[in-house]
Amino acid sequence: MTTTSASSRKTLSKIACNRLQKELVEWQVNPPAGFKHKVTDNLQRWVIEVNGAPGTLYANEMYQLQVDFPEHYPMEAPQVIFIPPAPLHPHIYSNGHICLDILYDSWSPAMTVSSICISILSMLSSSPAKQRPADNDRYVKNCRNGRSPKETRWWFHDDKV
Amino acid sequence: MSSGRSTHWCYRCRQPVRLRGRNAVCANCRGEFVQELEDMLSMNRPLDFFGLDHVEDHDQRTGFMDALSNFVRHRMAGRNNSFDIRGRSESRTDQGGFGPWLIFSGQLPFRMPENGGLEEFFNQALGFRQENGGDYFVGPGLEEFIEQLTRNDRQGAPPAPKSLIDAMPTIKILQKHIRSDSHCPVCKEKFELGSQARKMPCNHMYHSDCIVPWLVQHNSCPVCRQELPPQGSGDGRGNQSSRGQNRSSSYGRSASAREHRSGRSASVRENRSENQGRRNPWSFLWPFRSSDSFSRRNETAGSSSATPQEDDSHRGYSGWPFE
Repeated sequence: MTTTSASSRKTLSKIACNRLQKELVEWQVNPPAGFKHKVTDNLQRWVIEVNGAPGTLYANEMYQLQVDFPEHYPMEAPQVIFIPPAPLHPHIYSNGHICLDILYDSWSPAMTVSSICISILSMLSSSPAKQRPADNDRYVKNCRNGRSPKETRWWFHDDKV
Repeated sequence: MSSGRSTHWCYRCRQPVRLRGRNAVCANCRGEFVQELEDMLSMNRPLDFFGLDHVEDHDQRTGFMDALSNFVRHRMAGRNNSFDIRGRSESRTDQGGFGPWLIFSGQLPFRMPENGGLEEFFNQALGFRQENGGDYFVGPGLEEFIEQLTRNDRQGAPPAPKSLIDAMPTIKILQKHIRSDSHCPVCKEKFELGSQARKMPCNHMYHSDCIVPWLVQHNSCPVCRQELPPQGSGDGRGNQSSRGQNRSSSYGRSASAREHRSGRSASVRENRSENQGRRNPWSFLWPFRSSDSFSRRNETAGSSSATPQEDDSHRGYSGWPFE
């Protein structure tokens, strides 16, 4: 079974490096509200703190996103997961995988880490209830081989939450 | 693993189960949506454990084949060089931890040949065994199988035909361009006055080196998702349909089943044809009356609402930021 763990991924292409450096600079100048990039010397893996927006179910809660960039970013989407414990949300699995179309089929190279973050915060903020997806246990079990969420065939129906 | 024999199919657990006591509820989930296996088999129609009969998009069917083929290859590879019919019991021990059983309908996604050749194949390659001499198989590894089934093998829009990419106009960056779009949306670099850029029909501009690699994979403007439209009625379409015909000849009747698709199907086929290599391991399985099973699919619609993705309504969020 193929597993795409970040460690086995190829190093960033020149194009990817340039683009990420630009994004990093832009982030430092203009970080998305509610997010904090935890600085490391690893351009290929960003760890980002997410603060639940005030007035939402996740207010005063802090979570961490792990963003791993593929060799050919931005032609390919980064892998974005919550580092467990992941927020309780109908589209977020307990292993940190996030069911969000732009991370998979709807990715576009015009998107950025910053725009992803905003989408994720918006998804959190519109949550009606703190609960796991109905199929959480089954899905997480299926991922036990270290399957990346990018290898999942997601099914996007709910455009409300 | 339970010692008792499963007598019913639970539509919720999607596996064969035993009943809880004498009630018609599943022993696992206590759900009431159960059906006697014998009953299902005697209905003499294709079983639809994976809900494929319901899926409108034929890609799901080919996706199923991909999944199956991956699964088979994986199982074979897992045996290293000791792939052997007699190794079955051994492999079952290996897989013992997985618990659930795979039920495989004899008529999905294609009909089994009368002489049982394919059944032999499943028995030997996958270690499934046939129950009751009927048209379904059980064996270890349901979860593995489902895992394969839910693996993503296609992401986003299909590729743009090369002819359309080449036809996309190249423009010279002028002052007026810089006022509206100062940066290339892909690399985020500033456009330089006097340099060249490619302009999509939606008027979004990109460096050629930035947009072409994307369009080669996905016919979709990175900013607004608009596609490169087919060129008039000539080139693009003609090219595609001739490729479709090539496929018909190489895939026999299965290709005709795909003809039922409409709308975006032409570009999907384009996509598929580039993936032929991957599907080739299954070409020997294709002549099994796909178009026949297609019509059956319509007849049996409504027999089950299960889909491999499961619990769809709970998933998903559309976060497209550019609309």
